[in-house]
Amino acid sequence: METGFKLSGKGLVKTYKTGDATIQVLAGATIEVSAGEMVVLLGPSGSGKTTLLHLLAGLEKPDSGSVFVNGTDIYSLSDAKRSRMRREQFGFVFQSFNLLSSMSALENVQIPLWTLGRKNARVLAEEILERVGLAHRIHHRPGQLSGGEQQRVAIARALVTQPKMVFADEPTGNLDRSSASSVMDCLVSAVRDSNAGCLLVTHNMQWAEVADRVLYLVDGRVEVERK
Amino acid sequence: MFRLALATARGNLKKYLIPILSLTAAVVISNLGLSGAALLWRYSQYPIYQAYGGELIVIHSATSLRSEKGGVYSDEFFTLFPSQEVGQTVAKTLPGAQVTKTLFTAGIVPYGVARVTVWPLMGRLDTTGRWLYKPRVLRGNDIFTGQSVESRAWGPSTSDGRSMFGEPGRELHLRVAHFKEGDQWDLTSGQRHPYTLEGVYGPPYANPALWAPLETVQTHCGAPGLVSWMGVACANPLQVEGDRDKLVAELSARFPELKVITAEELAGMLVADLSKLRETARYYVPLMVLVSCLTIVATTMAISRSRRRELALLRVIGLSNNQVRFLFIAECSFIGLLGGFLGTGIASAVSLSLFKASTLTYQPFAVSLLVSLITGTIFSYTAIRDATVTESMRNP
Repeated sequence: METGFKLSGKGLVKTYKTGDATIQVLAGATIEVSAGEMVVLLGPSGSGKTTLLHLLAGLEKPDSGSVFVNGTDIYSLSDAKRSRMRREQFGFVFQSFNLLSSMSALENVQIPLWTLGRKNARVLAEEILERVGLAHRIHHRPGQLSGGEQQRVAIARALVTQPKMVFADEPTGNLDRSSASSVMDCLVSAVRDSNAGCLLVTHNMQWAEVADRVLYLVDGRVEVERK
Repeated sequence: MFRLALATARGNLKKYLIPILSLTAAVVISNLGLSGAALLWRYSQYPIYQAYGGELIVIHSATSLRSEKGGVYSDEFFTLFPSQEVGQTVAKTLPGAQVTKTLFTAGIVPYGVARVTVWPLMGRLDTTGRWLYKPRVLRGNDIFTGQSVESRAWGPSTSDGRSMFGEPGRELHLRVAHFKEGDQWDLTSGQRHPYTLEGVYGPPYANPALWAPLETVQTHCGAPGLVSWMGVACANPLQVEGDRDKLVAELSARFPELKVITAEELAGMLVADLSKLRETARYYVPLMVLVSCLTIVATTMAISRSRRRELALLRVIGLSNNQVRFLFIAECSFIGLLGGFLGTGIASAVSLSLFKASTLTYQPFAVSLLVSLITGTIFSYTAIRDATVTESMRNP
């Protein structure tokens, strides 16, 4: 297991206001994920899993608490530096795939490489699409792909920059059982091969078996942890 | 970033079709309205612009005549049109403008009771230095039907073989010349050039193209006889009035005998409808631009909303707010450029096809680009606020 990269969130608190009501989603959640480690975060719908993921990924600032990447508080960085860190070190896989419908699979996978200014973007994208079993579908647009195929493209996009950390938010939530299993195998295999850390957020207990560690989010805190 | 901008712009081309077409239409109509329909139609219908050589006409009028040695002379006529000085003033005052022609009109000088002496129309192209060798003189009976007209004129040559309308300061020695159709006059360098006698300033059937303008100029100048002028082609045909004011301000002190009028004024005197057309164009062009702007704003607003998720995704992937804004603004600039180019191209093709000339202006293009840029900038801010990023990326 690689120890050169460490993501940690300490005492994370997040509250949302809806009209007059105030909802505290996270109440001091603390979590740590290292490179090469597969962590599954379980919790019922509305428990704050996605919010925690957003906070850890630098997308949303916590009300209190801090998020550290290798000891650096990411919210002390400017937007540009935090974005750059996200661009270079993080990959994302979402339940609803979030592919750009106007672009082909190949172009979708190239987007992160373009933002990094990689000159061999096309070659790298073709290679990883081949690894996830989509070599024959690279010129298809998302609307021409099945749900499982779209999620494979999303996985390829998340990993094509060889990130240190992959955030997966209910990656099988929109898939049937057969596709879900196949996609999860693809994700786990790709993450393991790249030796990246992975935080997999789900409410499906089934995926706990792929984890190195399983965490539970209950009442806004990461309370239970088991191997 | 450039490749990403290109890919997103290409991918969203369909969404931007309406604003692009709207801009194209606006630029086409604006161009045709501002510079095409009004100016080209006028120029194509009336040869005034071509005859006088520019949008501005600097007129030297002669009103005082005197009789001497059996002939009638105009003192002002013998005072040469200060073409060199006026040319320098034009160059200094109106950057980009060009003196095209210096012309000396035919003059109808009463000579005796029932006779007239005719000055030929002649001049030279200042841009090339060549003389215009198509002097036109009257066919006597065309002017005053029933009267005797002597087909005798003052020949435009000097003792040294150069034109009497030569360089300022040169001593002139006029001589009477008899001429008839087919005659040749020695103007410069000993070359001989044939004259064609044409009924230029006679009734409309003689030559309607040049019959009216002389009267118009004479009316303007209050000079029933001799008129000399210099044509000035302005750099921007849409700023003629402003250029005229500048030139008048410069010339009035040194050359009070000169007047500056516009070709449009000449044309306007002939066909009052031209002014109405121009006025109408002035009203509907801004209206078209306004409508196009509203279309762009409405469409961009709709597109920015429909693309919130896409823009949010780019933020998640690692683009900073400024980079996403850049993408959005680049796309809107692309719309403005594409609409502007298409519109200008179509307007140019239509102008050439309809009017056999193209007088395009940059304003509609600039407005389309500016509106797109401003709209893109405004909506790039509203579309990618941090709050929308997390909201957009939440699972449905």
